[in-house]
Amino acid sequence: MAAPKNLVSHALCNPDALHRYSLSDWDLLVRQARRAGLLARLRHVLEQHKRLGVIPAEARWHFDAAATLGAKQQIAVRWEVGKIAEALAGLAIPLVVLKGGAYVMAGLPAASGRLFNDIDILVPRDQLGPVEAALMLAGWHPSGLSDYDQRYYRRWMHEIPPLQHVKRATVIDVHHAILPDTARYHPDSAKLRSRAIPVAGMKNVLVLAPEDMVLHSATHLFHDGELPHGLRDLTDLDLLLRHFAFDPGFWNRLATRADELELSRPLFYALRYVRHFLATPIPQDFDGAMEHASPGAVPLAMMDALFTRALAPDHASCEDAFTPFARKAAFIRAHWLRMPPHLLFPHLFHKAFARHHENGQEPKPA
Amino acid sequence: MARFQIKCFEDEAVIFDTASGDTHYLKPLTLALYQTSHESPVLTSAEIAQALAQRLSLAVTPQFSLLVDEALTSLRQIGLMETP
Amino acid sequence: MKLCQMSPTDFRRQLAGQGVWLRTGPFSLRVQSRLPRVAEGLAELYGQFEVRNPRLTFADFHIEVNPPGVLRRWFRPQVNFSFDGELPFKPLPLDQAYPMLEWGLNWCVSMHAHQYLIIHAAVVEKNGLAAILPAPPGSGKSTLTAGLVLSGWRLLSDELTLIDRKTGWIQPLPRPVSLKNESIPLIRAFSPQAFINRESHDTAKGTVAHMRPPKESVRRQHEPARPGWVIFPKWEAAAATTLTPRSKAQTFMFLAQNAFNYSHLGADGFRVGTTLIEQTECYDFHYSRLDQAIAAFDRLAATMKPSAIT
Repeated sequence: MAAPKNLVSHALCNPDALHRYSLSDWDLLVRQARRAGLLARLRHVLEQHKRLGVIPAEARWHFDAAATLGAKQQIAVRWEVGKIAEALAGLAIPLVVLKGGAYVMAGLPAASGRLFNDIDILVPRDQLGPVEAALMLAGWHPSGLSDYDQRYYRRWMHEIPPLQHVKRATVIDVHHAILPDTARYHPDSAKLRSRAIPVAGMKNVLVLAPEDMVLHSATHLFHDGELPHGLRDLTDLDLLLRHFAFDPGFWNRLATRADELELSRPLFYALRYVRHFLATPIPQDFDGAMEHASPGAVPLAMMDALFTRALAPDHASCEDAFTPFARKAAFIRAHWLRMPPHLLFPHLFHKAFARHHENGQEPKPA
Repeated sequence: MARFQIKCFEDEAVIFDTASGDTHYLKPLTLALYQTSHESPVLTSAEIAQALAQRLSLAVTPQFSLLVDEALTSLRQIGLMETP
Repeated sequence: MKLCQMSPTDFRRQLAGQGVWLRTGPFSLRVQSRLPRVAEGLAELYGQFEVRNPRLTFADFHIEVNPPGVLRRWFRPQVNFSFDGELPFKPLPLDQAYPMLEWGLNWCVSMHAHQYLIIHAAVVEKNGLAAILPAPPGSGKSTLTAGLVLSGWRLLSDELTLIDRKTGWIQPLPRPVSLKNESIPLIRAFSPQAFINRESHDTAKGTVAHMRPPKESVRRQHEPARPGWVIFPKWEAAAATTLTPRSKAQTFMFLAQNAFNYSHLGADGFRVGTTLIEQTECYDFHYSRLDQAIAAFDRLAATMKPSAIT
């Protein structure tokens, strides 16, 4: 097997060096970037650096096609958030949009060149019932999930399962907290809401404050089991940090808030790996402020071994012999952080068994 | 870009809503209604029906009024006309 | 170099090893397969297409058509289509390996090539104008398409009409024409010189085979064509050959609903689609006899009346 090379990270960090890539390098870069969900983002970075011309003619359409999709999806996200706000207007509750949806609504650089799946929203816990009812009335239904998965969401995660719209097929994930009840950490939703920022021109729609947005991105990365888009989520974090860093008080507020919400450990990891993959500029004194959150040399070495592999693009060319193990270990770890052991093992067993039975669709003949 | 992109093909039209991404078809009566109300923003449904009937050289029968109401509903659902 | 200029042994060995780089219209492929029937199909149907050393170049699509693994080798053997290491489809019986390659290639294009508005339609050209033929399955579209391209019309595509978003012109992708069930013997009888490859049976569409694209169509694969007509063909037993104008607005709505990627393109999909409809004449076409149908199309091409000047 050829030595693994993560061209996507390299390209994102060194847009000025791409003129040295051969055609077969570009071939591999496009495939890795596509698998990582980063074609549009990479194009965006090149555009920011005025380097679009470095892309060879043969490869150019792949980037442009991805950007077309990204642009269309931004419009779709705005519309969808508007529809959600409309559906929940009668409840007069604060509606906090999270993750990618928030980047779009707040017009942040992290929205550029990104593809979106579900829309994540945060509502008060005691309003979960009315919220679900209002959304169902407006056409979003729990669907596409097995009974097992629905129970998993409702009983163990104390969450509403993802809701899909009957006509538009868009999906909403309704949360009452940014981590499930069963997780190790419990950042207080009321605290998050108290600092949330209203979206211009929309009633009752908010996004998290910058520090909280960063903390959510960091925590989500290390507490969710799904890492095929790990690198993409790191690029979100990288773009958020670079943007918020224009405010000189940002890093202090971030450190303080991380302590307050007890999320310093996941932040420590997130910053470590965003710097490893994307060379994100982080002030030195901030490193000092975060030292207390380090787990110690041995666990850290182990985490490095796992995450430098699990966060790379999920493409054969980025793997070495340990990568499959690292991905599984990261998956299990994330679930361990979210679920007590007596629930975890049956859950993982079920997931492993179910996976073999739902794979792919029928190809459509001409 | 204007929210609604409209393309007429003789007496029918197709519309693209840039906010929602939806595409709509307007049949002849509905298109004529839209054009009529656009040219002279009249107030009531009755006045619109009257102006439209004149434009199409038709009598304002109960059946015609019904069709106009249906067309008005379509246009409001699409968002091309305000709901009063 | 063209594929037919490779020695058959070299071709088979390369295909089974590191794969073969092939250009088809605007798209380059890197195909890899250990299956003899895939090698056979490619050699028979893609002879006129360009090949290159796959090592040093860029390929738009990396695909593999291979059996899934060791287990099902003898009992109901299967085949998988892989796109850069991922399996977008469930496996099919081994007998369908070659059609699976063709269907998989259509999937690659329709899923990714958003520089085009991609309409599910055949498209052919004569006298500088292209006729787009959208049609639901069972309408006789593939028989008509094959008949036309065997009678002097240029094959642009039998399945995917690619409208260039920037120019509004049609980009050719003259890959083999797929034929189903009765079309197969019909076209063999219509033109004994036409090459149709080995049939695959019991597919979701019945019996399927592919016809080699005319040499001239492949030679001109990089020449875009101006759209002239959108014609909905329908074969009906004993029907007279009739061409009836149809509503342009409704034709547009049909295309918007049946294009693969209309909804991905936002306002630009609307712009490209309505411009297309504006510049073309739209018809319903009924026929029962292939020779009469071709004659009707020839008459249309002879009038050469584009409704707009580009």
